[in-house]
Amino acid sequence: MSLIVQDSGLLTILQTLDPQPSDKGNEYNGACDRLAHQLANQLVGNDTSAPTVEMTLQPSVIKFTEPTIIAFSGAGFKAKSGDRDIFLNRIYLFDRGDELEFIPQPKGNRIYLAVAGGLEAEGSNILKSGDEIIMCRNYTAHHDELFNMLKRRSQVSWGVDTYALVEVYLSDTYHIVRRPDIPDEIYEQLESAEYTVRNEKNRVALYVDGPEIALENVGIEHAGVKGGVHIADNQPVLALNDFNKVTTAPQVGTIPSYHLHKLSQKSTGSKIQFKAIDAADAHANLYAHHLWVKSLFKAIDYKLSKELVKEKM
Amino acid sequence: MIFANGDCYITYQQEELISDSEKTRIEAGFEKETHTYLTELQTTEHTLTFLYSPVKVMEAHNTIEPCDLVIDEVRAFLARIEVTA
Repeated sequence: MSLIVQDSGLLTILQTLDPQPSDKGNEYNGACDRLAHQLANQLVGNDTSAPTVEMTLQPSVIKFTEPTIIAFSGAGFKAKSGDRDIFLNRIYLFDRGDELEFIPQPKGNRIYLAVAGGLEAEGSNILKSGDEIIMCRNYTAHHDELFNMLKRRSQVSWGVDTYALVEVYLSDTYHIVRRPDIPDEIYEQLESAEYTVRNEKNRVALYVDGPEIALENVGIEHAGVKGGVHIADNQPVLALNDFNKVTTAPQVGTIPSYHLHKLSQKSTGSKIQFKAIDAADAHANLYAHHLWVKSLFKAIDYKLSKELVKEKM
Repeated sequence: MIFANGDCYITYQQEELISDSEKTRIEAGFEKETHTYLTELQTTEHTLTFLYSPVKVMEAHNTIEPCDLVIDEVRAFLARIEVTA
């Protein structure tokens, strides 16, 4: 036995960090919020690319069938297990029979649940109520130490604070990398207004409403890339991981990868403001973001190793 | 034209149609070769879009401007498969 999906919520899917082929015909197009995926894995001592359970909007209820170390990251959802409050970005040990129920909050859209030792799908990676998720139990010496520590107190006393992640998730401003074939007036129009998320087609695209963008469709067939900003019916459409491989909707630019974490957390009614930048600026920002993520993960390792040493003394 | 399409893609775009047979030939050429930075190719009737990992290029070359290096690789690939950029 492994994890049981008691209630599958709206869309619960086992997802890899990067797109991966699957011999079972599953679609692994990568985690929409790559930071949350990696952060949850980092907390439980997994490789950051290990598959996680991605839950959208209305998360699932999970039942544990053996001692299991977990962490979840992403939207500001709270969770409960019996009378116990379970928080985002912390490490917990659950025992056989425990249930973990998520409570959606008005902000955010997706959470990522990582399990120490890794997970794999039994059949389809789209999980339905009653499905099992197989625990790989690829435990390392670090996992053994974590188990020993958590047996005594079932959770660690610290986590990654929301304030530490504010820089990534809080702002409604989204960079859009300019294309050479799009006139400056289009970027001026995009920058001058605020757009409201109308809805998300699951993992495919975010549809937004705001002032109309009049852009002539010159009939170019574009590749659908993650973060691509297209114009359809005079409104921007923002491409997510499962977007069409090909589209004739004119592309006005692309949201850089460091802003895709917060884009995937946008829910209906939330606001978006665009800021047009050049690729060189996007790369400078990307590298700063990369260094910040590295330092965050190092800080997690340091805190954990300190706690494990303390436990041994 | 060749341009940075966001921070992880380089796109070659032309107004004339790229025929299905031409796309197949280009895709086969891409698959056959080994590439320094380019990891994936998406083709459409008008575009060839190359995926790369900018941070890997930045760290390998100690630069925060990886675009030119990757565009050079795209140009060299297009020249080898005889696509005039």
